[in-house]
Amino acid sequence: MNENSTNLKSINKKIDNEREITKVRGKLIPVTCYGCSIFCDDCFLEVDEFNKIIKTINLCFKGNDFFNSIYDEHRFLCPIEKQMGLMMNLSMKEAIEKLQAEINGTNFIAIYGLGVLSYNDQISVLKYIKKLINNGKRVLLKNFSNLIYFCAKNSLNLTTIGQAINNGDTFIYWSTDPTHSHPKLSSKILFSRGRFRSTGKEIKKLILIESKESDLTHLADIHLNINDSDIEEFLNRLKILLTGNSLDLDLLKKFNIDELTTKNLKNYLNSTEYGVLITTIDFEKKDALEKFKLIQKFQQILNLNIRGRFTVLPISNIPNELGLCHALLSIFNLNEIKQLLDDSSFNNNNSLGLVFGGNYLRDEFINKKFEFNEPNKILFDNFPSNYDRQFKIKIPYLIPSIEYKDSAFRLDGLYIKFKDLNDFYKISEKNKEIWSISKIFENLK
Amino acid sequence: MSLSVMQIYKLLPKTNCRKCGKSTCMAFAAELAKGTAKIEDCPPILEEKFKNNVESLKKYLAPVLNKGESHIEIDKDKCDGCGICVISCPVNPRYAEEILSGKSPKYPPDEHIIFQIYNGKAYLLSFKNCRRIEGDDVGKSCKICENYCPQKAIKIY
Repeated sequence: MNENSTNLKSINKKIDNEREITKVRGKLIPVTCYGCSIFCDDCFLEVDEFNKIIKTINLCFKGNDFFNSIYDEHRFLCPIEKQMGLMMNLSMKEAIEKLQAEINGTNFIAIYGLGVLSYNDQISVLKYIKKLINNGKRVLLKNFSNLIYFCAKNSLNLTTIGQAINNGDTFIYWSTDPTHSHPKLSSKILFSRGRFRSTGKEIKKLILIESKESDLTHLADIHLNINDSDIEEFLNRLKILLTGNSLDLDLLKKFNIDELTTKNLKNYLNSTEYGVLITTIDFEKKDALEKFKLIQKFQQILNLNIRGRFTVLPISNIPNELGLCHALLSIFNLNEIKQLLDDSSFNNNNSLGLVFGGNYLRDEFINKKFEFNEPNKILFDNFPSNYDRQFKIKIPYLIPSIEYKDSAFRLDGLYIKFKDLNDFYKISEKNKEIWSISKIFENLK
Repeated sequence: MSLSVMQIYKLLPKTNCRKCGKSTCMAFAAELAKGTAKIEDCPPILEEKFKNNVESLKKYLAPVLNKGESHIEIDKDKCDGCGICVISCPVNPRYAEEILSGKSPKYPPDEHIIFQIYNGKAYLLSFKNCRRIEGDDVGKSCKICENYCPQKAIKIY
């Protein structure tokens, strides 16, 4: 410990220095964060007279990076094309002409990453896709499972963040680390309205099902170290544990869960009135359907055997995956969606790839590489990534929620309208050469 | 609220009796401010007539007197701005009701607010209202922010 830090003067000087940051120097703008699928709406930006961000308020490190990215020195401010190994600048109109020529030159178009776009942008792209299909072209949405087709027929009992805050008393985090991928989720749900009563008694229980140590491990009342492959057997045993009146404390011994933890688990679940199962439904994974069925099974076992009820709060790394599901359902019928998601006769060898870049091309937490099989690829992205060399043309676009007002679906089903930024979206004055995705696709024929 | 050496001196008996081992009461006040002396080292101030002065000194010098567990430090490298400290702190919701519904405090913050998030990091804005300083016996041992920081970025000492 630094000796100076215990000096009264130095403590107060330090706090005064930190308090300096609370002084309002510019204009305050309330914003909705588009950094992840939580869409925090209690955040502010403080901007100077030139609409430059002085500081972000109530945003986590992800949101902070997201909002500051508009001034990133590496951001592309005009479309670029790879010619003779060199990157040449294009105007927006030239880029759209080249994009149009590429689309006209092929009958097979593969689309990646639509989930990163805002709702209206997704609608514009899907409307254009419908036009292409009507003109005889074949379009495939890649890296997007047929979960949406299944979801349309089956449903989960979903909850919202608001309901979880107000009613939730037992929370199960299952194979997800929200403090890592969605830092503000835990503070909003688990710690709101006081994890403590005024007496200091804890009122919310946290059960963590995860096979590795995570940031939440030391906060959990019960940490169950169970692999995803073992979860089915765990659910079967949990069913027996909750059904019988007699308590078989050795039931979960196979998963290295001791007798006391088993007893506590049964007590916590039995005393639950409004439980929330927080887990990831990743629409882009091929095993998403299996995960979805497991979640359904988990929810059924809990709801049939305990006094209260359990609802599901899904979260995702891709901001607007559920928006894409809604957009698909509003433009196509179920048969058309099935064809869009799974077309076995799609010819990759002579196809064009349209890739909408987002954090998934850069996110350090995702340890997978994307493979784009199409010979010709066009990337819609604002920032450099490891995949840049694969692309013929790169087109930057305006960022929703910062540079124009739009909307999205939070993954718990709630429709989010971004806050009105008044004249703030003119922040991109230097980016006026860049268009939004909607405008780009409305200008295509 | 913090006290300067002169303000501490004004609360002392000002007798320069040297019973504390220092040459003057002013020197003793400087030692108190640094945390290298205790109030009990001054025998005259323990008399009944200085009772209120002792209480004031204990209150204002708490961060220094409870050396070893009286200050909060946030490791900005570890902090990821999750806001659990903002919302789990029992003092913050008293001055920002929106915290009770899971929202972050408004901006500019109330002067009593202890934590808020700026540029993706937690900042300690005020220490004087912390339960460790102004609270009762239970509050004095409060370590909620430290215990519930998932990144272990908050240290209380």
